[in-house]
Amino acid sequence: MSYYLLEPEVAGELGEDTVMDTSVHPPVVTRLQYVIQDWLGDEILESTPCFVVTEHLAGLIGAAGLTGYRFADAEVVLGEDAEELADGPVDLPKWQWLQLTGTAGTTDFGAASDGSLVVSERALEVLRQGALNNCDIEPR
Amino acid sequence: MVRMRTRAARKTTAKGAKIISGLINNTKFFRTGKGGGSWVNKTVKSTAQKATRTRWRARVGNALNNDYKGTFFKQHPKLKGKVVVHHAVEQQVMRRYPGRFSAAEMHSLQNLRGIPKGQVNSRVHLSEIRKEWNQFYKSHPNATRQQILDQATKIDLKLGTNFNPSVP
Repeated sequence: MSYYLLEPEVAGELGEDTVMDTSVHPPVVTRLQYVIQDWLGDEILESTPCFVVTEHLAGLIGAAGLTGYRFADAEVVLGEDAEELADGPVDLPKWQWLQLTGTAGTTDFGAASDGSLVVSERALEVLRQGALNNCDIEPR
Repeated sequence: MVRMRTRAARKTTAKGAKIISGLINNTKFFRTGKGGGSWVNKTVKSTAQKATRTRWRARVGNALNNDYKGTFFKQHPKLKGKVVVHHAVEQQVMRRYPGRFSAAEMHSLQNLRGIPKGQVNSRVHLSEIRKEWNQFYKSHPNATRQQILDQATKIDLKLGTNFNPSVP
């Protein structure tokens, strides 16, 4: 099966309420606050080493029976300049934290040694059912 | 007083994007149109400007408080409402690399950039900057203060001419 290295949209940064151990690489995050500074609309976002997906996309992933991930709660909030940059109100969907538990190149979702997202072809097909316009995709 | 010259849009590309040949901020040109287009890399011809770019190094100062917007607009009052204030060295650097920078340095005028509002390009542009930083965090697990400043310099030199005021 083919695998792909993904660099999803980075719509913001890890917030102050994130709990992260930076003594290891990639850092281990035990609590995630993702602060969206400017969202271009993709349904999977990254702020290394974390990924969040919309509830819509989480539903598609769950229904597809993919391997190498689990979902967890995350706090996803709008940054103070987000609406100013978007030039209007931003209606944020609900988000789920996509935690990578698999092995890159073996399971449908996995993390490369630097924390980058590696997905199988069938996982990519599912991700493409959501908005994926600002994600860099390379065959691995 | 700086003389500002503008010229009407006159050229349409195959993709429908128009080259606006207006003088933007006295120095830079940009492309806009359908889909937002992308920033044009303009060759710097002026010797003085080349020298400025060669010497340019992103740096930080020491802010008196954490009100970074207040700090920026105090220095650039005419830009209020026209730009969104952005940190050259991202604020999350303080969480990712504890101890490298203080809050006073982070929010200092030297570390602040004005991103023009109301332009699709600015948003694409900011997205690109965030991706560049994200890649940096992956490849520099123990980045030094200087490496972080060098990354900010790299982004300034690549994209900073689109900031307001232009950097460098």
